[in-house]
Amino acid sequence: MLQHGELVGTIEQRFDRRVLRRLVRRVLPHRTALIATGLLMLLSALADLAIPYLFGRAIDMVGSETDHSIFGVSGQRALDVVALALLIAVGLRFGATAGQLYLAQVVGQRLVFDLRSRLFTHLQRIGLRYLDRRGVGSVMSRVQNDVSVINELFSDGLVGVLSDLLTLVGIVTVMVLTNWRLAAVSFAAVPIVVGGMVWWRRHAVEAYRATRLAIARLNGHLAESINGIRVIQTFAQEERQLQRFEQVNRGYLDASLRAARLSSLLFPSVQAVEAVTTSLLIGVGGWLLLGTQAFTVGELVTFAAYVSRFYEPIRTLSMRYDTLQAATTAAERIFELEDVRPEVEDRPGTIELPPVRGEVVYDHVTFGYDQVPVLHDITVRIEPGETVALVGETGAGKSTMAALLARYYDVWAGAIRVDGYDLRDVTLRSLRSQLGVVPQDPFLFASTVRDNIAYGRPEAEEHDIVEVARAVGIHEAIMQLPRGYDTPVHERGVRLSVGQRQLITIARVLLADPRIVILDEATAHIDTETEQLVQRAIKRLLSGRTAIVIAHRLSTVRDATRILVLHQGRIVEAGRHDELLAREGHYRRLYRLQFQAADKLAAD
Amino acid sequence: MRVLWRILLYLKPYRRTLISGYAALLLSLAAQLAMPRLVELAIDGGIVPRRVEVILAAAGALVLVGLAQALLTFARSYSFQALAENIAYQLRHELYRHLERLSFSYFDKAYTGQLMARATEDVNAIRRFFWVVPRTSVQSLGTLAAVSVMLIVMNWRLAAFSLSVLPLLALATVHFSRRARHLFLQVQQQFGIMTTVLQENLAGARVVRAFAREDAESARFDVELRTLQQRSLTAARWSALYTAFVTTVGAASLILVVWYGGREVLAGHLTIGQLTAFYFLLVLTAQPVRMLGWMVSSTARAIASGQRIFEVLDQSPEISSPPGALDASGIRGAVEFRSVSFTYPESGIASLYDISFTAEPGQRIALFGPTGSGKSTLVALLPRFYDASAGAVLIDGVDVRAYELKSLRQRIGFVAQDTLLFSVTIWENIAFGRPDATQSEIIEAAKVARAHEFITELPRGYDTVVGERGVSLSGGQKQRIAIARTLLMDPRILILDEATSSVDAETEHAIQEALHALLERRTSFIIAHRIRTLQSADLILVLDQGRIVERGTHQELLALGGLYARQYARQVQERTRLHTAAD
Repeated sequence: MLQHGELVGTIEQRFDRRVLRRLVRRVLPHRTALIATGLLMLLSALADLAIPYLFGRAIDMVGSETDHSIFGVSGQRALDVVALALLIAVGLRFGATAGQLYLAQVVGQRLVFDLRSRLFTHLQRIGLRYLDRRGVGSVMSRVQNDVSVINELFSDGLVGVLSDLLTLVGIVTVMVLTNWRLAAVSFAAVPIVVGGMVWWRRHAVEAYRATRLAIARLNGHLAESINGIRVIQTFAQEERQLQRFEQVNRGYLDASLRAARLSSLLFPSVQAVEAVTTSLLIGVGGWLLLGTQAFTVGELVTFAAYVSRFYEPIRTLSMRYDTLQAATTAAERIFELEDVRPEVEDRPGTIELPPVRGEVVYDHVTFGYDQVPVLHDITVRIEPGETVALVGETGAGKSTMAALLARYYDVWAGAIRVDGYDLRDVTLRSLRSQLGVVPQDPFLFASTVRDNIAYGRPEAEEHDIVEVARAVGIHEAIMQLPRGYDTPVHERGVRLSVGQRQLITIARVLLADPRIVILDEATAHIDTETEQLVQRAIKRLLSGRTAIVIAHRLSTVRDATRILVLHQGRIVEAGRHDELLAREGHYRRLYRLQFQAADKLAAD
Repeated sequence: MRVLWRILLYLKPYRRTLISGYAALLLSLAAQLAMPRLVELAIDGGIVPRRVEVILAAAGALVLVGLAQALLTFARSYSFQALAENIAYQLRHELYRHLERLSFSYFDKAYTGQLMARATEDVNAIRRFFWVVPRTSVQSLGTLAAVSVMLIVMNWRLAAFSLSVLPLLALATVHFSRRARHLFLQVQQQFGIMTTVLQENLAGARVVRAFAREDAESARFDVELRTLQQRSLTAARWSALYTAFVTTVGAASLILVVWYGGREVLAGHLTIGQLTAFYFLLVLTAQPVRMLGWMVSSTARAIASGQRIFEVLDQSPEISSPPGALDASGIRGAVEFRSVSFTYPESGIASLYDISFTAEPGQRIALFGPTGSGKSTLVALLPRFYDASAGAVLIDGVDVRAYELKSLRQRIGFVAQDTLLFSVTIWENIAFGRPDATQSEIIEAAKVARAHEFITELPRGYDTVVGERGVSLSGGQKQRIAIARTLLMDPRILILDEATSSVDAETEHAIQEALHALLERRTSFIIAHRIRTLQSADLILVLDQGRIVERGTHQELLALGGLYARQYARQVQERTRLHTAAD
């Protein structure tokens, strides 16, 4: 069991180092500020060390029989000099500490800005399937929390560790230089401390990791329960859910208590070692002093003061250790996200797609997900202004075929061309700005109705916006909202019906006025009146444009200039509605199943 | 202040821990204070008069006191941490249990993220409070008081000099905490704005890409980030100044000790050993002073967090079982609405007016009407997701409010339009309401809901984990699992609120037929827009703007020639036109 833990520990250590190296590379651009921080830290540490030294000198000056002087002055005048020197040291320490703390924050904040900005830009290019699979919440927590944790490392941990190290090195140097015998006595317990730390670290790694796992589990359970509270109450499962939560809650408590025991142990242990060292110093030092007279009482006092400062950084280690561990995990998660390759990228040498007429050609296109082909050898030519309806069973490849035209993915084999331009030879931006997409779920941003309609053309004039709203038949409904076009629409804001949301997304595309439209018709049923508005709006949107429609409405297939019937990733039939119905083929069967619900009604 | 008191009340069960923690604390404090005096003894009593035995005795005492102090420190450190963790555990427990009891109307207006923040960040703030404040307040004030007394006894003039910096420190702390609260609030707000931009961008990823707005989005995000950075740095500037001030102010008093104390030694009013002890005692005050600042800020944070937590805990559940409630397990399923009106508490807009009708056990009731006409609200009154504002809903002649809530809801199956599945296996999801169900019962329910087929096609079948961390299912597939989940409960009353809206027509029809046999033995309520789904109901209620405008069977309503007949004609006309066009 222990061996296993050790093994995991070493693997983790190696990995930690790789992550840390990468993190350090991110910090390098800010090295000027970082070096300045280091220098200030050094200054602050030196000033800090000067204080016990000056104090020791003062003790000797006022207490010894032999005349001690400083800078050639003695007695009360010398005290003034020492006091002045102390004042300078204290002033320097104040300035250096403040400057160092602030600069560390500057580095941390710049790093945070870079990390977040990079992640965000990266997220704009990342594949939609990744986002779907990961979930918005998990991706968000990386940009928010994990980056914040890294900031903590910089503003608190890393700077602290560096400053501790500097202090340590400084103290050791001064002690050895001043009196090596007293220094030897002071460091007698160091091997014990090192041994103890190794033991502690081994246990702490596991305890902290267990705590983090436990809190992740707790948060997960909590989020799901709050989201699912209605289901829990509907099924009257409150008690069972509470029991489950208690398990998780108890697990977290146990893990925290274990970590608390370990962290409580470190501080007093170091304290005990420190007390022993001080007593050794007083005992042995006092005895030596009486025997040899090789040093003064002041020196002994200075040493006792140094010992307590020597152990201070070691005491704070437990806190820093936690920060460092947390930051490594956070960095690991951030880098993992950064390493996700975008599904599509502009190749070097791509050109801007000039304004198109809207001819679309699928030329022997084959494509799939995760090595599993979904579309096989699709070839079709769509003339400018044509409306092509894609029909087929769930999983036949309709959505995939449409997604390829918007270049959400790149084809495996073959090519898709718009006006003769291969999609991969033109920039994504220039392609998509001439394409309009109406998604199945009408998504609105948490801004005003106006901003939502103008999303694709933010510079649009008021009358253009009103015009498209009128064209899709949503203008009247908008005017009835409390603040008209300025009404905010969000999660729990105005309750727009599904149908109204659909109309707004259609207006949005209409305003962008693209040559080519991809429409994924909604399946959700809405009331008959709104349904008719939506159908009229769709008709308006499609007229005069090349359109690919994933059809769920009968009126759409009927009005399409051509219907492509997809079956298991191949086009099995193509033609107009009545032509296809006349054939005893796939379409006729699909029509019966999906669209011909009216049969029985009509017979009544 | 009242909030703080209420927070402190959580200490009650931990009186013992608290007392032993404090005992350890005070003893360790005494040990800590004894150490500088022992050093003084070694110098003044041993080194100066050259007496080795005193030096050794003092050194021995130092070891003993040091070890005792270490033990005591461990005891108090662990006591207070354990105390804090236990209280955090308790708070999470209370919050969770309470949230489960709050009614739908509360969750209609509460944001998931904010509730999460209460149970995580706010509880954490309280935890930190209990970890820091009870210990630190006593320790810091105790140390400061003891040190002051010792210093004054040793040499009151020197003490007065060296302690004169403390009021300055207090002043700085008060000033800073006032200033900092404002600055950190601004940082927090900006963080919220940044989060919103991010969340929207991710939720709307498809739209962003479709309109090629990636660069604009990045620019917008950078603007918010830039503001966040500026605000963070403003706050950082202040906290850097404050921290530096607090850590150096203690050292500043040393200057006074040297300058004035040195003179006192020269004048013979003070020994070197005493001066040294003075120094070490003053060093001891540095930590408590720093702690006081920390204490002030963590108390302020705990009060703010406590307020938010109590806000949730004080929310009384609007709907609960009455005293002496009736058990609903044996209901037959006769439903009566008696002059029921309902107003949503948040909006104050009435959504149901004077609804009256009865349904016999085993009858099928269909609700029809435009969006917002009140259909969903009406059925939500049966399992008491909301309570009627006026009138009464009765089951088997008894007001639903008289039944024991749990047994009532277990007898009513409700399938809503938006379905939520949990991140567990499909087995567990279907068995959610009846954890003791056998596998064959689960498969049976899945078959009726037309879910069995696609489930067996999943890579791990019924063992597939769904939800955010598992396989993502389509809306229609989720709805079918939700139907299976409800059927497994074997409810007396079944409510299908647009339960098949995301299922294609073919599957919907299949589900309807499979349900047919099941529905005969239960009272059922069905909401749908497709008239075909409704027409075989025993009673169709047509709702418009919260009122029942028509009622009857399909044939009766057609004969009536009202709203229903018109909608029907429209739907039929549409289909027939296509039908004839096809032929």
